[in-house]
Amino acid sequence: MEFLSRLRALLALFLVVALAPLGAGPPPPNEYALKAVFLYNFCRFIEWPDSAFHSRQEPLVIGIVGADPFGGMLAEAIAGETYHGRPIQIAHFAGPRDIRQCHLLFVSQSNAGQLEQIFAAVAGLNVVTVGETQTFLDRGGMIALVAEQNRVRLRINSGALRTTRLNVSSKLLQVADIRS
Amino acid sequence: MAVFLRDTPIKRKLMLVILLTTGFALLLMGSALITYELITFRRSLTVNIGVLAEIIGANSTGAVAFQDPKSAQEILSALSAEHQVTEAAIYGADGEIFARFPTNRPVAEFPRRPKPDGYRFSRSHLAMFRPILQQGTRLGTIYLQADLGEMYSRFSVYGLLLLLVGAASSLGAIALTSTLQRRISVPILELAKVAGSVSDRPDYSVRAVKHGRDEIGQLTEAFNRMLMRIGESSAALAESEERLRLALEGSRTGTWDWNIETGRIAWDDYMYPLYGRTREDFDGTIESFLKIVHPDDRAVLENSTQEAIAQKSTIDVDFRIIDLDGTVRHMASRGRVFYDASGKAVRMSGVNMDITASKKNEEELSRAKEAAEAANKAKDNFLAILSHELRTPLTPVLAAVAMLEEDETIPLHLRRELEMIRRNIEVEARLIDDLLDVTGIIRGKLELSRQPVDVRPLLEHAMQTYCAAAAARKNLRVSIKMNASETHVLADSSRMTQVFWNLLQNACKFTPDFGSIDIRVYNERPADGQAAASNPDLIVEVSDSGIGISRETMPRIFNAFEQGEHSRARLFGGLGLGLAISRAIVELHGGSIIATSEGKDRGAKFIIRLRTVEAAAAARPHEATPASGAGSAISPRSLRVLLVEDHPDTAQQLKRLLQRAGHEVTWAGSIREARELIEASGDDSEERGFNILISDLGLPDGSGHELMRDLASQHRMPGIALSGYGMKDDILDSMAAGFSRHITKPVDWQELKIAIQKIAAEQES
Repeated sequence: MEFLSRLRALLALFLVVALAPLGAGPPPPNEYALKAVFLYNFCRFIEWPDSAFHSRQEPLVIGIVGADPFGGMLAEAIAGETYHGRPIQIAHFAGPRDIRQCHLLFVSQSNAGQLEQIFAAVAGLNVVTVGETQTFLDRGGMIALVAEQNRVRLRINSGALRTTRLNVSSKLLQVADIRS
Repeated sequence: MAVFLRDTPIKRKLMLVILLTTGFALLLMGSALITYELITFRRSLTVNIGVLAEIIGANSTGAVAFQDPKSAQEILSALSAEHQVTEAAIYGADGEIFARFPTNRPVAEFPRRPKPDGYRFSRSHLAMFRPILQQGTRLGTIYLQADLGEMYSRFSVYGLLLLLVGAASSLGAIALTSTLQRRISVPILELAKVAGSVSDRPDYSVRAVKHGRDEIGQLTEAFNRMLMRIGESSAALAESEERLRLALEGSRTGTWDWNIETGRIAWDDYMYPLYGRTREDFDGTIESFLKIVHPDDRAVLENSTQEAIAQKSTIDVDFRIIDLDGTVRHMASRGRVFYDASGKAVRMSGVNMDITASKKNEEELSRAKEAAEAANKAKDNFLAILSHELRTPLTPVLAAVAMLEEDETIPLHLRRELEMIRRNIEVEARLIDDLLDVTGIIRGKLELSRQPVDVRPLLEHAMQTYCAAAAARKNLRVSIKMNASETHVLADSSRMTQVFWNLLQNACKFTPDFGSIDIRVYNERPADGQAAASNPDLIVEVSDSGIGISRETMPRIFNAFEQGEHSRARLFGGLGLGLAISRAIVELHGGSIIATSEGKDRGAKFIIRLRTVEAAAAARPHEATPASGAGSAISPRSLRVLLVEDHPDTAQQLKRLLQRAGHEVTWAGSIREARELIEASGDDSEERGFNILISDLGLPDGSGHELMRDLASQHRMPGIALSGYGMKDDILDSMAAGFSRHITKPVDWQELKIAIQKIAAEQES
């Protein structure tokens, strides 16, 4: 089941990637599809301690603040996937004040003005914040998925990431641009 | 190969065996090693490449997950240090090549899509596909290809090494073999040399040197033991041959072997000197052998040979041979015949011995024996003739005395003298008769005419006739006890009387004056078991109180010419023949006589044992009994008697006696004269012819038998033969010639008178 759903996701990704050269000008139409997969992949390279969950069955929650740029693509990417046996859920937060318990928090560009409030809301809560720009990192975000030249690049603010007590795989660091 | 191996020397065989063994072992070991090496190499390669793939896969998860081919490429490029890996690639989750190594190789040369996970070996490469996993999620596939060239190069090194080791060990084996094989081949060659030397020259004392206790050592030991055994047995054989040689030489014996099929006779070395021949003289043929044999014995020899072959028996023949110098020698041949499976005689072999010496001895012995026998016979004949010649003159003397005694005119004192003369002549006649009897016994000519007869009258007669007077003279007490119920025996009465007379006479003779003689007659069951149902024995015991018989003399008393002791012979006189004659007579009757004595001067006892017969069988009175014959009254009848006797005195006495008895006697001195007288008297026996012929047998012109034959056939004239010979054959001859009676000289007048009367009575009836 898991395999099939993943296959579906891969198939979708493949289609997006395959069609990519057909698109004209940025942002590429498959940008968010890739970003959705990347977002999900973070679960594979980052270890949350048990203390980040209230119970054994509590799902891993990927929170999205503000407008959701993925459409259904994120839901598609995590469909059927688990994190150490925990289901993965998506939570939408309208604004900084709405942010509740989550483990990954995607901050779309639409929230560029509220970054301070958002970071303050999750500070000390072992929440990995993921943004889309260098600015996001510069202002205290942890990981940025930056679209450039038809590709999505990983950029990591290692200092910000280190404020959490999370175990981040070196392999993730390997493929990312590290800024301190 | 097998044929080649069979004839190759042991040295080369050993070398070949060692080389082959070594080579095979090496090959086996090398193959095992290489196989093992191959397996471990492949396994370790697989493990190595697997680990490598694992590491690279793990390292590249990030790059794959976050679509970073550049870092994936970087990771792969690390493989350049790993010279085994010839190419590598990372495939994304979509199966497309994501990154590759080496980068300069076109994508088309890589597998377009990932193959199933795992590894597979091709001839020159190992290809491995492994998943790229991150937290259990497959992100892509890593592909690695390793070159097997290293393995092959390693194998070629192994092969070379193996070759080198093989070559080295072969060389070593050859070197070792040439030293080791000496331990095997040298003893064997030595053994062969010793065996060769023994077969060349039969010296069984040599021994092979034993080098060790292995099989060759055992073989050497067995070979030495065999040599020892052969040596012993050949020594024993030589010794026995030597013994045989000495025996043959010493005993003048040789061996011969006749091959019947080829006809060849083989002689051993001893035969030639034995036959006085050299090898040139005897060529081994039967002809040349028979030439040596005495002509008279050739047939004998050939016959015995044929007989031995035919009867499958041994040959044992004596024959003579003639030496080259003409000497005749005696040979004994002993041998046996050998037959083949079909029973055909094929061979005959045996020994020859020179028996000339023993033959000579044998001949001499037999000559000596013949001479001794002839001398003995001559002695017996001489005794017979002597006693006959001694007896003959007594006949007329006795006749004359008898005649004188009957002359009633003779005065009484002369009559006593006459009686003395008669008694002495009778004693002498008896002695001579004994001598005649003994010679008869010696010559086996004592014949009996046995008839059932009562022993009692015989015993009484003997007592009265011969013992009574003597006993009276010596004042002997004579008792006779008859306790027998069965007294008849099958006997010649005159001979049995003679026995009794002998015993009684001895008893009288050897018993001193006033002694006693006891006669007992009784029956006794025979001692032997079978006799219970048969007739009892009759025992006649004559015991006296005389001089007895000493222990030393006892065994000899029944021997002829022996008296108890020589000193006694002088004292008692006599020839010592009585007991010998008595024993011979009793034994001829199937009886026994024994003597017992308490010792010297303690008397003697003689016991005669005879088997009785049924009284019924002896019921009729017997004419031959002197007792019964003497007193019978037959009326005298005058007969015309033709007396033929060449001895004038005897003739005169007989004529006178016959005339006195009332007969008419005509005397003839020879056969011719007798025939003339018969011619003259004519045929008519009734009127003028003779009624009876009384003839001597030994006449100057022939035998009285001839005369009697004529008279018996032509004139039916009865006859009485007078002869100095009284054996059964003589009597039978006389009967055959036609005589009615045969009277032995000296003529007992009473006997003659009775015989004449009987013939007269027969003629009348």
